[in-house]
Amino acid sequence: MSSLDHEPGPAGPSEVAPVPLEADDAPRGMDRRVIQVFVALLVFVLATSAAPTLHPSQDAFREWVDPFVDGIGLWQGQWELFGPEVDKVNVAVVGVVEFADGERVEWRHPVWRESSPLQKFRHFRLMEFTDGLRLDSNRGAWRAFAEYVVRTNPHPTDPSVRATRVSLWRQFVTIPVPRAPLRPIAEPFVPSEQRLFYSADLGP
Amino acid sequence: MKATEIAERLGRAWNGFLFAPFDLRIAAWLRIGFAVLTLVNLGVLGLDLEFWFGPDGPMPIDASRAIIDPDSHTIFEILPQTSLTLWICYGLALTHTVGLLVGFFPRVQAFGVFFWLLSFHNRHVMIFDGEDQLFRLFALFLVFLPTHRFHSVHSWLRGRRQQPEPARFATAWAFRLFQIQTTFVYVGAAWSKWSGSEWRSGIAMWYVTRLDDAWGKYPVPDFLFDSLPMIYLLTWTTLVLEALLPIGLWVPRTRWFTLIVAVFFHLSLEYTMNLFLFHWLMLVGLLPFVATDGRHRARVLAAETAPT
Repeated sequence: MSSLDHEPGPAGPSEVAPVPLEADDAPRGMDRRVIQVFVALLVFVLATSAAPTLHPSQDAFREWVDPFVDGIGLWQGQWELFGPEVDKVNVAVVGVVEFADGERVEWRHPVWRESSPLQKFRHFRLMEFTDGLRLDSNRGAWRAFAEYVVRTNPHPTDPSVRATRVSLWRQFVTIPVPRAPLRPIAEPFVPSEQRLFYSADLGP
Repeated sequence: MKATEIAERLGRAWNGFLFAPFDLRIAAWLRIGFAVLTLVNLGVLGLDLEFWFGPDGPMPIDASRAIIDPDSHTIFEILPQTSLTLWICYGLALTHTVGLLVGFFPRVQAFGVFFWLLSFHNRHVMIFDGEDQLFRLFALFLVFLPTHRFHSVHSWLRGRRQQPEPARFATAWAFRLFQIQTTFVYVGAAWSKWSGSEWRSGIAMWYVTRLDDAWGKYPVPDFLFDSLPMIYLLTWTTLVLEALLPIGLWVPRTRWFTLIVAVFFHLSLEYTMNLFLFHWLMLVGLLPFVATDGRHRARVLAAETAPT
């Protein structure tokens, strides 16, 4: 591989300074062997989690090394980046607090399609959070989030009125299969359905 | 060819791969680029620090432990759950990052950055994504890269003491870790997309361009995304580019052309998509392909020895 890196330039070998295979300060003896083994092991560990799955045995092996890789902070997911199947859902998460007098207050995050580039950049983590919160795999975080919504959304006119119920909703729209003529990009797909994913009565 | 000869050749290739002379000025630029991006990353996180990590936010430590792999740990598990603790930890993360930026014992600072990124990541795993894994791994790789020799506090002190400049090209095997990791990203993305029927059939970009969070940043002509043939073209171009980039980067004859294409590719996506700092981080991850390139070294040495 090194010879690939050190191929002479297009001007021709006679005009190119001779390139040594190894640097003058390349380690020798035990240092060299330690580095060789360390790099080989590190690359192996990185490949274990990052390499595409070609055979089911890889998953079994991943599970086996998972405690070690997680423990030392080397874990990484497989780099899917909008694959293999693209997300097709625009989602908003809404928290609703209901009060004893029938009043309702909603917690909503910014509407992403109406946000400026700077706002989207600024709230990138919030996008990640709400995108993850709606997933069943994160149900362990729902109660804490619902409690936060109750704490931070008091009754609009009378703070002494007690909250009786909190619920979390995912509002969504599934982007359909494209058909010609395409719906213009200027006409976004806006959430039109909603589903309750968490609710709790807050007691008398 | 005998087995011993093959083994000897492989050994030489492996040694050449790791211990060839690489450009340490680029190592310094990599350190600076990474530190700037980390500062931006931490800066944005700092705007909502108590919301994300504080005891009164929507993700107290108990909830965060309920959704994370139990093998993943964070120092916040054993620290007091107070705002003061949080801000001290955040301050330490910033301090390490500034230290890395100016090159003050950068290996130590890089380890500090790695430690704090890991701690914050495992404290609230839901708000972090793939690019944060890349941030964390790059910080770790920087521990092994000699980035202190140029554009650093150490090089500034050396200049003040009128000490000679160190060799620009030297052993820097950690560049290989960056290259391999960057290759994993491209190969993983390409493999994943080729496995998906919507990418192969050419309609994937239809969905991507209709996502209201990831898509839509700066103005682009609507006609590019309102016709099916253009959607096919954009989808297949992405598919082919992501498959060819990791190959082109490793082949010397195509490396520079591939680097130009990769830069254009990432900047285009940065212009149109909202993926935070991912594309800038990938551009930093491309620097080692320049640093380890034999032609780059030949050009630099030729320029340095040319008569003035």
